[in-house]
Amino acid sequence: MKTITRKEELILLSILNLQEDAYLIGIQDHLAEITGKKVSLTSVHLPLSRLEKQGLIESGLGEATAVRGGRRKRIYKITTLGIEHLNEYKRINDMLWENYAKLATG
Amino acid sequence: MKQYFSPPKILENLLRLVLQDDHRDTLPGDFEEMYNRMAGETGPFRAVMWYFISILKLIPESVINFINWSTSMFKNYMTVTFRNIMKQKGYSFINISGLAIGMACSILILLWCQDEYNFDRFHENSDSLYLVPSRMLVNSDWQIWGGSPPAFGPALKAEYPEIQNSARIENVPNPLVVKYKDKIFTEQVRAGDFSFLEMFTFPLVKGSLESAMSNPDVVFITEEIAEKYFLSDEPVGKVFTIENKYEFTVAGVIKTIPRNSTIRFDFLVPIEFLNRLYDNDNYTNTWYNFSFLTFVQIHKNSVVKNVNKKIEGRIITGNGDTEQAKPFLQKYSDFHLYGINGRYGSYQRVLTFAAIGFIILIIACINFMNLSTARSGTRAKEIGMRKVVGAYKKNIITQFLIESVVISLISIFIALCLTSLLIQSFNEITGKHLSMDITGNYLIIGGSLGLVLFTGLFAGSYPALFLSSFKPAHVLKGAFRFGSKGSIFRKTLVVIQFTVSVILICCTVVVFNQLELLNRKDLGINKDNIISVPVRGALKQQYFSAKRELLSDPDIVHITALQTNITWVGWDAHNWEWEGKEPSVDPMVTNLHADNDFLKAFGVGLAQGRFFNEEDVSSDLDALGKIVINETFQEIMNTESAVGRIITNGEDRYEIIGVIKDFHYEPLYKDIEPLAMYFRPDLFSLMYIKIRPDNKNEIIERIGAVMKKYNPDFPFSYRFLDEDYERLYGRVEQTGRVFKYFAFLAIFISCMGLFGMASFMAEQRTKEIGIRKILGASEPGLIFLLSKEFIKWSLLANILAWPAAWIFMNGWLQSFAFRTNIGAVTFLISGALALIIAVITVSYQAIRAARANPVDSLRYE
Repeated sequence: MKTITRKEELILLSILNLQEDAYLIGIQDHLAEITGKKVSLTSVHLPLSRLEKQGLIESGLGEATAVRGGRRKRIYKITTLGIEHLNEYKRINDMLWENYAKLATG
Repeated sequence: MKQYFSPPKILENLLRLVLQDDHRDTLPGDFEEMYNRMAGETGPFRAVMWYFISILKLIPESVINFINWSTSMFKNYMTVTFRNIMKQKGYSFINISGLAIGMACSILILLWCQDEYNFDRFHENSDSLYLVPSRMLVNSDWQIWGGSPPAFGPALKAEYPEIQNSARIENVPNPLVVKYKDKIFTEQVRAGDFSFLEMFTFPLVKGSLESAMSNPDVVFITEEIAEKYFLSDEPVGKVFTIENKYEFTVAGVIKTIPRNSTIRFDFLVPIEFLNRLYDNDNYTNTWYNFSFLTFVQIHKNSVVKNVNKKIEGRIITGNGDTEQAKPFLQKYSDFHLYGINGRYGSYQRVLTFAAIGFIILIIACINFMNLSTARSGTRAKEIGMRKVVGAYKKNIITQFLIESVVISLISIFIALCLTSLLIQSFNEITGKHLSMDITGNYLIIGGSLGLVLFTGLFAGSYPALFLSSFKPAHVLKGAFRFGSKGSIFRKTLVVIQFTVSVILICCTVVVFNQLELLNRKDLGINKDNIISVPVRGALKQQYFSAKRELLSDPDIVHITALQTNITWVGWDAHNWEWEGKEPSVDPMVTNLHADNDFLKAFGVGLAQGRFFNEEDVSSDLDALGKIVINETFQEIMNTESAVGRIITNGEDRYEIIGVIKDFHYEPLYKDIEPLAMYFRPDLFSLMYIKIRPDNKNEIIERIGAVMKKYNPDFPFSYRFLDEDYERLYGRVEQTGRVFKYFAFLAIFISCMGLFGMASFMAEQRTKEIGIRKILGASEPGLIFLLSKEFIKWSLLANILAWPAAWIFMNGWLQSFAFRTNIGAVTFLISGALALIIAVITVSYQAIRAARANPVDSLRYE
């Protein structure tokens, strides 16, 4: 199983959290909020596209709004494969972070 | 207050251009949303910048995507293409070989045209080298003459600053006997200014030019001549003896003259030699004949138009006229293709050949189109499926275009192999030395690639469009009927193929008819059993003694002599005057010098007066010479009998003592024109001996012995007159052969296509034939039924072809004064031939279909 990058992890988790609001701009705003740094549209769109091609997420069409010129949103959803990748990521993370509190302060 | 911004349309379209299908409808929405936000926060300008830059950032991903997609689709297309080629081996073979033949023809013709174009372009000064021909006013008619007066060349160089250098060279070389030690041969010796070697790029491999300039006794020879006479010895400094009188030292050896040079020579002697050869100190200074070719090299900055204006009146002709001859500059490198002022060049032939090659290629492409669409039924399901799973019409088109380009690629390789095999024969037919060593020949390499693209795209266009229009619902439902849609187009293609084939057959027939005519026409002279022997050396003075001795031989019937070849006399002059002549009449009269036995030797009739007697020998110095003219001349003089009349040419005066019947003294491109005959033995150069037909070899041996006696220093050589006549029309023969082969090829390719079409249509109608057979149809009846279509098309093709062929051939025949008749027979034969071939091709399939057992064809219903 290929490991996901940090950026991909963030995106996957955002999608999980945002649920119905998980569309490109929504994800972008969420990430900007969480990391506190500016996130560009294309730097979210490209990983999203790749993740979808790899099958970690899937997408469907959502509602249209005026501000989008009447175009529909593409809402993303994580797949089982995506969950598996997140689990793997979390497992590795947990292993490394296990003794953090003790080691960082002691 | 929420302001609503909309991004500029161009940006949006640009974005959509870059995106792939999935996101094309949603991402612009995200962009718009973001644009709105930015426009509200930081202003529209920043927003536009952001929009644009974001598009740029998306491009790399897009490109990679596109490449990935394209490669995998391409792999699929390739797999399917090869699979199909193998699945339908028969049709694939017909398709590929048809294209290969068409391409091979195109490549051969391309090589030929390239060779023609490259003539004379190897000279360093090519851009500034010009020939100086003249427009001549003859008989109130402007003609173009290639030659110029001998004095013109030096005058040009001396008097006009624009002209950097000039060189004269003889139009026709002199056949002279050349001797070195024990090697004696007749060689073509050309006289010319040595500045010729300065201007043109004929590099010296030995010796130098400087030492030779203004030295009257040196000669330049070519590498082959050096090897012929001196083998591996040092050629420079060796001495040749010419005509047993003149000695020339070799000053240099010229590198082998490239094949594509119009100017060729073996020996180059200084032009002053002609003064000695003709015993006339003014031969090279005169303004009164046009027997030299004058070349000039102009300065880089000179403008041709201005130079032309300046030299226009420089030539003063015999009667002091400056208006009669107008010289002009003709680019030398254009000479081979365009001739002089657009005439006598090979440009027309180049175009004709190119057209033929193109036509054959088109026929092959038409084949491909027809076969591919005919076989479309087998691809129908595949196309339906592709469309169902998401292929657009565009994708299907791309697929089949790629397929035809791949087939073209296969064909070109086969074509290149074919050309390698055929190039020798092609060289023999065309008289060239083309080579298939195309490394570095960018024209051919590029041309081959171009051929692949052209045939692939052109031939594949119609099938691609046709196949991509299949509706999935229609083709996947059940048995796909080969619809009548588009069949009109296909029938048109077949008719075109056949029309072209019939035209080519007609042209071939006409060319051969014309050749027949040229070879069989009554020339007014009897050319049987006559040999020609050159009059040289000692024989010149002793001609009459030799003649007397030869005539004592019972097998020698008649002897005469001329100053030139009877097949192509060529010597002519104008400015003739006689009493009562209209001023506007100024005929070009051909001059023929013969002896008193001319009429007997050639069997020419006498119309009025008498011919020369032995005593009528004249020379240059006579105040009143004797002359014999032909009937055409007499007609121009507008008199019933010209005998006794006096005619003059410049200072020369002649009395007409007789009029002879017309005969042809030049190839049949020209009509019979006025002829004047003189009796001047000092000009004789060819002896014509009429012998008895039996034991020719023995007779010739005896003649050789006599010749040796009178002319020991020169080898005996002879030619048969009828052989000379046979070779006159070499170019026409070549044209005939080319047409023959191309007609054959066109028909062959068309038949292959026809074969494929017929087999397919027979296949389509197996059920119909089965039913007809059960209901009692006879086999011949069925065969006729199946062939009916094709016969109809052939007839239509004929009706279209006949007028077209007539127009082409009529145009070609204009160049001959004597033309064959393009009769109904020609057309009928061509049409019948095409018809028979078509029927034979189709009947194989028709017979097979008619013989099929109805049980088998109707089994599955």
